[in-house]
Amino acid sequence: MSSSSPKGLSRIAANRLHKELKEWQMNPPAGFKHKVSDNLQRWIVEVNGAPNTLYENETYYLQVDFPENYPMEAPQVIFTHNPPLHPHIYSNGHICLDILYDSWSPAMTVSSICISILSMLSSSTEKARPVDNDRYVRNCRNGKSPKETRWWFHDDKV
Amino acid sequence: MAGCLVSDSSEDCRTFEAQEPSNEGTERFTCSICLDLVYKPIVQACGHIFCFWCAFKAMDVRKESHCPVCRRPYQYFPRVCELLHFVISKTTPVEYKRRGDEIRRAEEESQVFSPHFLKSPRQTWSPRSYDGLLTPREAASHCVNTSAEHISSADTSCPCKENDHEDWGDSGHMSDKPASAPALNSQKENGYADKRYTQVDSSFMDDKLTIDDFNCPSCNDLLYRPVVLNCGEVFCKSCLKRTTKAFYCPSCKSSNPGSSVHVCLELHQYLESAFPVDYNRRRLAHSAIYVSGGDDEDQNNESAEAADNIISRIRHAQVGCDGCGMFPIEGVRYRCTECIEKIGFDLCGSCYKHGGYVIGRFNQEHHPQHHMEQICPQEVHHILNLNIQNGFIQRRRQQQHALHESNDHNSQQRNLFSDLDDYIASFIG
Repeated sequence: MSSSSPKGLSRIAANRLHKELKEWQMNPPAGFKHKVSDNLQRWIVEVNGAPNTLYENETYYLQVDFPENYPMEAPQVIFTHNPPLHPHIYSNGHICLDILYDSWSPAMTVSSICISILSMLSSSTEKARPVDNDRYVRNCRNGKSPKETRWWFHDDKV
Repeated sequence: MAGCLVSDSSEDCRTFEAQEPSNEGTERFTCSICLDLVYKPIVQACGHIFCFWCAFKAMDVRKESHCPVCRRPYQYFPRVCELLHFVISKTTPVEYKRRGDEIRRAEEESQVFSPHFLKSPRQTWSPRSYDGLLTPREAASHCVNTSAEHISSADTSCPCKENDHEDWGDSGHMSDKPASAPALNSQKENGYADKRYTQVDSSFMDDKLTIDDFNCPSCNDLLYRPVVLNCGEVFCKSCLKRTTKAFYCPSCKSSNPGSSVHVCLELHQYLESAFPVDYNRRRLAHSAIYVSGGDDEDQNNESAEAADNIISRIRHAQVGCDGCGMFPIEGVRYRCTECIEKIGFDLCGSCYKHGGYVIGRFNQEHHPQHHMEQICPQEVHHILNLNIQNGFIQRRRQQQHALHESNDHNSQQRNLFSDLDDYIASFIG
């Protein structure tokens, strides 16, 4: 086990991630699958659209990167490959969701983030990109992290 | 206390070993930050419980913090709740010891230490004796020998029993002489590090907790719907006077910021299951008295008092008060020039003025006779430097005179600036 904890995580973070992973394995959130890997610092999570929503039978992948002082700092969560068409998800995979940035709390877990994201997908009424998608993606060309963006959370309906 | 270690979590995790927790039924006291057994519990005013270090590291170093669970805003870092500390150490001794060892290693690396406790709540040495506020419980045994070697055998005989308690010579009551402590290779020379961990946790297991350990100091009966104050003391919720602003702890007289304190549900559930008969008796008695009140959850009537001058609004980022726990300190701040601990010893203006003995929150060995100096926050330093370069203050004064003569239009703003000027002037001398 000791070899699996990467150097980038503090002991507190590694400890906590082991606990989260264990809890996830025993009690995974519905609609999600953790892709097993040796890397504790980067989780790839498979998301299945909830039944009776616009994203039914669709599969997406979330990439969760943990900072060194997780959980005091939020993880970076983005969609990889083909991000779902959603008014709050940009084509580069960045997600406009307050709990990932300003409203992060150390009591949240990967599991609670996943549930929030699925709820955000499920409550969508149209499959569309955000209106400022092109401008935003252009600004992020050099691989900027979504955590560096100054997000403006204005829509609490979706 | 300075928050210098907030960003200091870069511990070497190569030595990390996943330890299988022994199943002791630790579900009740879990910290929602580290998801592990709570170690040295801190209870927030909202009743949520965290580890000492988790709570501290989760605080915002620059502005008001929010409870990780309910997002209730707060600005005071509470003291460890000793009662809960002993409850957990007795109900899950093996797990608690594992947590203690884990945290101890981390603390030795960072050289910043959490407060340590001795044996059981009844035997805790209390500095309150210094103020003549000794409670009978504490009077019974207020000094404890913390030598690691003697804790199991000879610690009942207190070496300083005959001493006058106002004698603060040396490390006196706080800890035994370092000579008898095990060598902690680093910093052995000054015996400084040695004093920190001379306590042996296994001594907790000596005696069981009884119902007498859970008496409310106010009504002297079993705690019912317990609330934990900022100072770590526990009372029945109904025993506290309901006020609209900050009040004082009936036992230790330290101020409790904010008016509303919520029931600590973890402790409530523990008491309910540990003493079902007595707890039910308390419930019945309580419902007979407070017929109408019912579950009197407080309305949020904390009014943010408007700060009246610019000095009181200056925040000392990453520095907290060791007295009341305000973090970051707002307004005037005093720093001890004699405490050698890495984290330092700081007080806010009101705790400094209040005087008396204050125990550091990070096990500092602060002494009331230590010299403390007023610190001007970095922002002010910055302005100060600029001001001196530009002769800004002179011009500022002239402008003020001019303004004063012309009209009272910007009176508010002018007052702010004159406060700042006075403050800056006090440093220039």
